[in-house]
Amino acid sequence: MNDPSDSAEQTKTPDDRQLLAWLGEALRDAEPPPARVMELARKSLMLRTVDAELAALVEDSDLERISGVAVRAAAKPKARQLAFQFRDSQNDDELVIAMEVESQGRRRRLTGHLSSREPVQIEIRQPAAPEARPIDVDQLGRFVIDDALPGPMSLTCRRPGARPVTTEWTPL
Amino acid sequence: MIHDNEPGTFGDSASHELLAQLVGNAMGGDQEAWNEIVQRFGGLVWAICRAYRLGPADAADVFQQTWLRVLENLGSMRDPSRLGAWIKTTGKHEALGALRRAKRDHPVGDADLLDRPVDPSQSPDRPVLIAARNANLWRAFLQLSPRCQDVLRVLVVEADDGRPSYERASAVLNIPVGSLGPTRRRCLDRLREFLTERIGGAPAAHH
Repeated sequence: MNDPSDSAEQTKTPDDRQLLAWLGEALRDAEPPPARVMELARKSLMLRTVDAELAALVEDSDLERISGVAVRAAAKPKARQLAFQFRDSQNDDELVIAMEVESQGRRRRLTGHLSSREPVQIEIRQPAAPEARPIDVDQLGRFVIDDALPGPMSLTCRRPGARPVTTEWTPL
Repeated sequence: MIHDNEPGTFGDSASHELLAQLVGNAMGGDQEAWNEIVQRFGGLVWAICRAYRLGPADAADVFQQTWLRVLENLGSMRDPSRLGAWIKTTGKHEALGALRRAKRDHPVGDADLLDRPVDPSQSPDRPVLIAARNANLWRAFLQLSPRCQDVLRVLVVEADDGRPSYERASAVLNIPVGSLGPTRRRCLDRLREFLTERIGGAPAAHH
């Protein structure tokens, strides 16, 4: 084995695993994250919802049309379909939030509905927007958000007598 | 024993107690604790974004999306000492998602977000030997073909994982799993040659 004090010799003949590890360090050193993305990441803390349950992303039509020429050749669906589900089996509680996302340039239009029969208040949070915005929901649980922005999005649903439910952050 | 150059330990060498404390404090809204977490692991997440060759807007979005997802799941983290592993997994998941969702008209390779390479020997707080090694490696890396650079970036990100995946690497690079081993070997041999040349060894053979 190489004499550990002979660093030049060691650098010359690292094995593949060692070389990859060192390369990783060299790349991180040479290419640090730009200051502004680091700043945005730090600011993310302000976007958290305290004491909320999470509704997981259970459907994303954009993730289902992957790989393979045949899929690309097929007609693309006009709008993206998203669905989020919160389940609490112990309390027999479930909330499903489904929506269509239409993109036009940098505008995003979300047309959705909630599975809940009770009144629900929802608000949308996005890092791109200055603050959370309340959204109108009709008696059938339907809502429209006409002016969402590209980038991560989360909806917070507040039902009387229950913890808020937030949808998993999802890029629009 | 953890060496500073052992794969998978960058950022993870912080003590379990420290990570648990940072996670707990960040969950309580402590901005400094969160900043510390971002500082420690931001480089790893960025390396993933770059390895997956996302366009500049996508890379920034994936970076941010990753941190939002990490924040969202802080509370449910059973073992805070696994924070680094979780952050890397999240980064790859979001980067893969972005690749799959990518609109065809996103130009790849736009230099806007990609900082000019920093001279690694200028990095503060770096032991001199490591800084020199990084500088030599970086410059040798730049001599590789673009394809080898792409391949090695992805393999670096996989090698750093507790569960490296050739399947995932193959999907990201769009080359068959079977070719990965030979390609990896060839590119690493080439890198080794350039590195040796750089620190005074014999000149690398030209093909």
